[in-house]
Amino acid sequence: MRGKIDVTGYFGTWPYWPLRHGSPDEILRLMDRYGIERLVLGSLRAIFSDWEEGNEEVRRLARQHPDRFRVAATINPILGRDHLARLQEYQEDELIVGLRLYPIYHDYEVTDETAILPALLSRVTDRNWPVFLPLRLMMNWGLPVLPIAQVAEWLARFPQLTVILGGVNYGEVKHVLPLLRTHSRAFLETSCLQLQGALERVATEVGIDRLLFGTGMPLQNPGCEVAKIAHAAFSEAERAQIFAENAIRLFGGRI
Amino acid sequence: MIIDAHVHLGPMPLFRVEGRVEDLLRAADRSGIEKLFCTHATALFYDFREGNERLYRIMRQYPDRILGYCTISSSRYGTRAVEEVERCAQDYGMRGLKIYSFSIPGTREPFLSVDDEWMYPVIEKAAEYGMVILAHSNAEEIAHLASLFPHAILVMAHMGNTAHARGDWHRAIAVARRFPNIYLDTSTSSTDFDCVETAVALLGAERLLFGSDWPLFHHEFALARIRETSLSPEEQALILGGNLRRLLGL
Repeated sequence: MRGKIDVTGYFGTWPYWPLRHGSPDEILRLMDRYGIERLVLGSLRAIFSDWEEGNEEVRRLARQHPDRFRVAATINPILGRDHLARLQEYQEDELIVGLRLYPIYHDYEVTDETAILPALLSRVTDRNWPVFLPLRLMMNWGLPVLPIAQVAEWLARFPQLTVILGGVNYGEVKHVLPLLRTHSRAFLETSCLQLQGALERVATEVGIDRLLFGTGMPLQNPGCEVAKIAHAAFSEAERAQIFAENAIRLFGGRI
Repeated sequence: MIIDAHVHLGPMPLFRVEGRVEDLLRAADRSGIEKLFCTHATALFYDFREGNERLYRIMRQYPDRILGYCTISSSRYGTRAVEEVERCAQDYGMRGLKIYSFSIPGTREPFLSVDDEWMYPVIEKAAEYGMVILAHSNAEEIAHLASLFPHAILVMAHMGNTAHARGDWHRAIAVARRFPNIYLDTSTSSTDFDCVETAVALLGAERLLFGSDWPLFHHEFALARIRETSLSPEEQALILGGNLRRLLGL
């Protein structure tokens, strides 16, 4: 049986405060402690600074530990050049499993006339690559939240897109559930959904196969993120789906 | 002995939870939590007198398990609020006071603030009785209260991890460093990895109180926030119950 697959991790400098557990060795130690076999890393540098450099950093880390890390590459469609070429390069890298987009941090909306975004998403859809669209970076009340209306607009404009909605808290669940119902290729990542019973509600209303385990480590404590699923009202078979099987089905051999 | 310093009983429709005491005790037993310091949601969100009375009835039913916070949802009731604190302390044996800052919807500006002239007599009365004052507040509010009431035991609910406090736990730790009568409650929906460890490093474990915010969050989820850290067993024991035992003389 495979270990847990964590679809949301970060690497890099957290600009708001020093991370106590952010080094690669510490991340690996945490993964071992909580039985996490694979962690999909996104780059913090790519969010806050240079997306290409940030992706290279996490790719190097993944190459050093190909049995532990995968990468969700970040593309900022506003800055930089050769986005499509870069996307192709990422898609050919077997350690990269998807694309992460941060409209708030990169100052765009899906409705903006950014020429490159539709082309990027078209290529992603063609390859059936998932797009990670986090509402927030971590469950901290001071950080900005991508409005649900914008998420709905994304799904309406790109109905064939496979989307992993992350950073959803209890206040947003009731708005996200209708999107999950109407968009069969949308998934919910668990790292910010802490309210007791909320994961069970998602499973009941849209299906357990739509939940993907995420911790948000090392920003968030993976011990808490594992505990909430381990003690939720799920059967062992359902827990196995959330912790790993759903991700394996979604990412295939890449994960 | 594990004591949960932040528990709610009663229905909270906004969160779709019923908060039944039987469910609470079953959950607490599973997680090895012996005592539960509770508010009643009816007092918090509707009618404080009725809610406090409901909580008292539950306390009488489970005297070894349930400790009570007298809740004052709004200071605007003037002397009635002060009398309620007195009644809860004297007649009901409640050891704590719960007060709550409500934000103006869509903003983080206080609508009803715990740091308000109207609230001061309520706090003064609770301090007279040595009650633990659990304040849903931001750092500025709790710091000002601490300066006005240095003899009061003030607990900043959620240690800054709320929308009202802008998620700013660093500021919560900073004001707790400045005022020794401020304690921090660990309950929150945030699983920020560094929060608890940083607080212990800067304040010492003596200033943190374990809370779950049950029924909103599972006890095991809240416990992991303390246990799944680099804190020593001694530090964890203080946070998980030792500190509250000391404050309440249990």
